[in-house]
Amino acid sequence: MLERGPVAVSQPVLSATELQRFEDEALQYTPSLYGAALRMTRSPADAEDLVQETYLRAFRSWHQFEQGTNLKAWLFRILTNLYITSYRRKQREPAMVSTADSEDFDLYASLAHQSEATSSRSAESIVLESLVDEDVKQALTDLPEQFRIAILLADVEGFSYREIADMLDIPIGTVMSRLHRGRKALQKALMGLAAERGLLAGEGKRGS
Amino acid sequence: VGREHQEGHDDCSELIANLFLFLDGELGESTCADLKEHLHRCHGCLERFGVERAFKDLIQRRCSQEPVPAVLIERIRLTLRSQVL
Repeated sequence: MLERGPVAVSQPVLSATELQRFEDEALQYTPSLYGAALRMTRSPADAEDLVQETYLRAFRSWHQFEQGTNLKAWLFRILTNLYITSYRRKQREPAMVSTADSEDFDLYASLAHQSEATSSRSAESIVLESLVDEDVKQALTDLPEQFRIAILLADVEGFSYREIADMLDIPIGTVMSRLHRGRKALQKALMGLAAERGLLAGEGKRGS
Repeated sequence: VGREHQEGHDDCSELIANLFLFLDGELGESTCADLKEHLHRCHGCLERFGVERAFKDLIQRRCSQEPVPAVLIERIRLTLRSQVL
């Protein structure tokens, strides 16, 4: 760890009032943190542990939180770091969707092809909308970790490039490139799923 | 990228490069105005933008937040309480 001033060396004694304030402000983010933790760890048990540990660490460092700054981003930073430093090691990356060949995937072109087949402009957004939540979540969960986390933080949670770069301690350009590649891979995976589910016009069984 | 241009705009690919920045709210004000102006004029780019926005929106709606098990909230509260004198 970095050198710290004497303040951080002794464990701060937290009062019941501070606990109350922390709970009032921080606990509202449990659904977001738990959702992200599920996507990261792929396991409800690990996700629960990760979120619990995140709150414990956050509370212990509560005195370091700058009031008025983005509390959700601060909590996500703790969650993400904790996941990367401790939980990730426990996990084997499963057989992943290959992303090497998704670089050139073009969702717009694929959907344009669809809308020609159905002669309906609105088909463009509806095709992927027809996928059930579980399919969409699973496709995100199956992405390689770097892409998965970038999309979680940017698209799902709406953090800025700068916030994500700070959380992951990587350059903004890397954030952008992971996002870009991750989105393409996810789009390709979802279109693949849509085809499997018979949601695409002119392929397989058609939803009547 | 540029095969849908109707009026022979030569600025499509340049502006489209900014499309993701725009979508992510990361585009500076003046470039933002240029892009909006272009989307106004160019149907192909507007459609592409619509598709990417619909996708981002889909991921956001379908993957954000999860119902938190009551037992987890309880565990968190207990853990936090153990830190207080």
